[in-house]
Amino acid sequence: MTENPQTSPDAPAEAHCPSCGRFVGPYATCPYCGAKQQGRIPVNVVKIAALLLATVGLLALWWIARTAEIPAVTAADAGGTLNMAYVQITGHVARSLSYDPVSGYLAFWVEDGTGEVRVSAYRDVTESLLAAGKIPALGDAVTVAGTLRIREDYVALTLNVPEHLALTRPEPFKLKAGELTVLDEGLRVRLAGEVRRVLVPYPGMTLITLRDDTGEVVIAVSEVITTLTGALPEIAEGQGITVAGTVSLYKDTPQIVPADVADIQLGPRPVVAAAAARALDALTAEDAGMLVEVQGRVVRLEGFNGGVKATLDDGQAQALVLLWDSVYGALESPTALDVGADIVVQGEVSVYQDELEIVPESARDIRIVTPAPEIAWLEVGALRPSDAGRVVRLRGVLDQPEGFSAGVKVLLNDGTGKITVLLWNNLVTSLPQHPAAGQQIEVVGVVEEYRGELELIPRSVLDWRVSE
Amino acid sequence: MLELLLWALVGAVGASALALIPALHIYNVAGFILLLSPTLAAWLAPEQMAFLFLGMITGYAMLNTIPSIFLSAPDDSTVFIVLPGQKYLLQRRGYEAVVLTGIGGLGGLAALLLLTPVASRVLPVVREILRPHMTWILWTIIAYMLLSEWPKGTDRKPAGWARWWDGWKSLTAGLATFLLSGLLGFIMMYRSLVPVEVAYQNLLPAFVGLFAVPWVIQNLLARVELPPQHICRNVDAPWSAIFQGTAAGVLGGLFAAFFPVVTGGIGGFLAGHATAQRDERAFVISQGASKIVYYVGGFLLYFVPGLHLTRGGMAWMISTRYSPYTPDRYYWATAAVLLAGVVTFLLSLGLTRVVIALTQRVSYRLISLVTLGILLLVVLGMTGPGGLAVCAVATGIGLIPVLWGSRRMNAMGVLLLPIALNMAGVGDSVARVLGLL
Repeated sequence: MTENPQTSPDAPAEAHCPSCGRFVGPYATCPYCGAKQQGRIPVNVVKIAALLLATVGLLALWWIARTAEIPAVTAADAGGTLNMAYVQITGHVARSLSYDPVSGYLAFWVEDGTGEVRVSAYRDVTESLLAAGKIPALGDAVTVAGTLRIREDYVALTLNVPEHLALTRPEPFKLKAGELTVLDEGLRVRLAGEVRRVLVPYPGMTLITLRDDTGEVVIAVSEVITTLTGALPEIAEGQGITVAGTVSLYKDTPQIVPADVADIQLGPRPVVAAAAARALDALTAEDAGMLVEVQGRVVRLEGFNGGVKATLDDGQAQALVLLWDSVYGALESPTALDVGADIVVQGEVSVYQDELEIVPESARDIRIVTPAPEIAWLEVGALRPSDAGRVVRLRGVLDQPEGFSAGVKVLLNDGTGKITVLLWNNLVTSLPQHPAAGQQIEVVGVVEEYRGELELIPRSVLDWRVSE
Repeated sequence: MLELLLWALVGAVGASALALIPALHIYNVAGFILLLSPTLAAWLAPEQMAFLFLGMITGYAMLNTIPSIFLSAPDDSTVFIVLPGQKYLLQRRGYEAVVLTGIGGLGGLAALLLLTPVASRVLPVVREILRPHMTWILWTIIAYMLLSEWPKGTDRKPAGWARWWDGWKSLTAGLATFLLSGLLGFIMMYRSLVPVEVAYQNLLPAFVGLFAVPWVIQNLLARVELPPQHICRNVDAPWSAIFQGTAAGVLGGLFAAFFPVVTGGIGGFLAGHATAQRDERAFVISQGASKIVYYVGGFLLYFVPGLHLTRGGMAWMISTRYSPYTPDRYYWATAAVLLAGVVTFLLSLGLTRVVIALTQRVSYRLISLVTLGILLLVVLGMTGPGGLAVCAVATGIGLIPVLWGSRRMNAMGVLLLPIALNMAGVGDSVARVLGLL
């Protein structure tokens, strides 16, 4: 049985009429004796106050909110307690964009000096940004406002309003490829030169190598850029190219990332100033990375895994010219570049094991002024220890080849004598036909003496010809 | 691993005590812990904090029924418990109401346990299926909420405007509450007056103002008197009512937990209507189940492998510190909430007696005044004067349904309206028209 609260003797005094003592609850006037209850707030007053708060108060809040600035924070400030805050961040785009054309998701990273924030936009906002041509790019100065999302391992900001993204693209500095260093990361630059290579390492990425008279640099054009700003035009090697973009680093090597495909201007074959002609004795390790032109006579040619090295002598000094197989093989007449040839080479200076090398990028960088003299045929029986170091041409029939850890040895018999021909592994694997007993061959090589015996060492696959 | 369970137990016991403080939401407590986390880092690792929060949310979800029923201090997920709870209270059966809600809570935990083996396979699929339909579902919920607030006059007023107003005032109040709270939501979302440093508690003043303060004011106005309460040794609930209530509550709770913006209150409301419950016992049980599944299940979604869904304030807060990467963490999290749930259910029986004793010794008016003081202190302390101003305005809006007899749930417009408009792609346009951009 429930006790009627109206008759409860334990009821608090304020719920009872001070005049008649009966329970009055929330009434302002006692329904029994008509006495006014003191200290009561009439419900109507509460109603009016509620309405005023809900309307006038809300209008006041609205007015204050309209005039309030969006608070600016830094990436370092963005801790867990700022989760879901609507804030503004100022910095620059520090990494390339991500864009998914299917979902309309666009994201980029903003760096403000204290850290990085990943800014994301979803379909509607992305569409508005694209329609307004507001496409952020690496290096752009950015002020962006949105909702902060603090995650365990990164800070994200969702851009809800297209107008809350302000972009400023800095004017590019005119630079040469050889002047770029890691310190230029984030700098917007403009370069002009010649297209040396166009490479697609994987679908969605095109690497264009630009070369000017100081060096070369790669222009990285990702699928995101082409999707957002248009397809790349047909680019041919040797074409003139001008590009504006931001310097980014790929494995500590500067590369250029354009903001827009339109930032890549192509022209006819460029008038690229030739690389500075340099005497070999003027080259130093400090020239590493520079593009130079050198001239001299080939005094030695030796093979290595992947190409040949020509020792160039200009009368004052010597330097190595490193010719990759792709370059050497692409020469109009590779055998013309041999000992005794006079050549002009344009290439990048590099230092390998404390030795200066000039590395031409393509066969077009090599001009053979005087071809190497024809190497005379010799008979094996005529070879003497004093011929060591000489490049000679022999022919004969092979005995049974004998493999060893670093290559293959095989006796060559021309009827006047026998000599061991030593083929290093890199050469053996490159030969179109593996050496075999009974093969009749013509071979060019350097004569060497090893444990009192003469050996012939071919330098490249071009030194080895199997007679039909 | 046992250490993690221990942290969950610590959280559950701590939250059980804190849940008795009227209108103090566990999210506020978790917020304080998050605020102190750099200091606590030496002995509270992020994963331990996650399990502490699991225990806290379980304890809170199980025990916040007590202040809701005895002190009429609900949050947005317990507004539906208050009215039937008050009825039980005035029948001296407040203790029984708490037990029935607790039974519902245990049923909700059992449902979460049953879901564990299949959650990682089923829920990601469900999410993918629902993802493109979120917007219209949300608008349907809003429409249902508003349309189901049909005219309910007494037909005793004289014909004409007076009778019209008598019939339509609750409907008008409901619409006004929804729109005004929605406008407040826009302000909070785009240009909040809450300091940016405590943005994670951005909605605290609005929720306190919309749901908690109006109840306290109502208590102060109504001069409620609590009859002595009966501590029952058994509850009036057949197995059919328990099963029906639990099933309905789990349904509503799961919907609320899984669906963004929908809170436990709305989930319970939908589940109640969907299952057409007329049995008050089943209804009270369903609210207990819905509340547990909404709060605890929602947080557990963060641990589900392959889903990793951030739902509810607790998940949002811990997501800044911790991400569960391995499936075994989900199983441990389920074990933690089961342990915490059972312990806090047992605790609720004892703590209800404590509260009954308190309410019979201390004036209800005094408790209401202290509650109001605590609420205002929490709002001021956490969000400063700006938050207090928001709380005041929200109180005005929250009082409209109280004073004109409509559903308090309409105040959920604070979240529903801006987010539903955003999901429809017009939120920014509305904010622009409002001058908030």
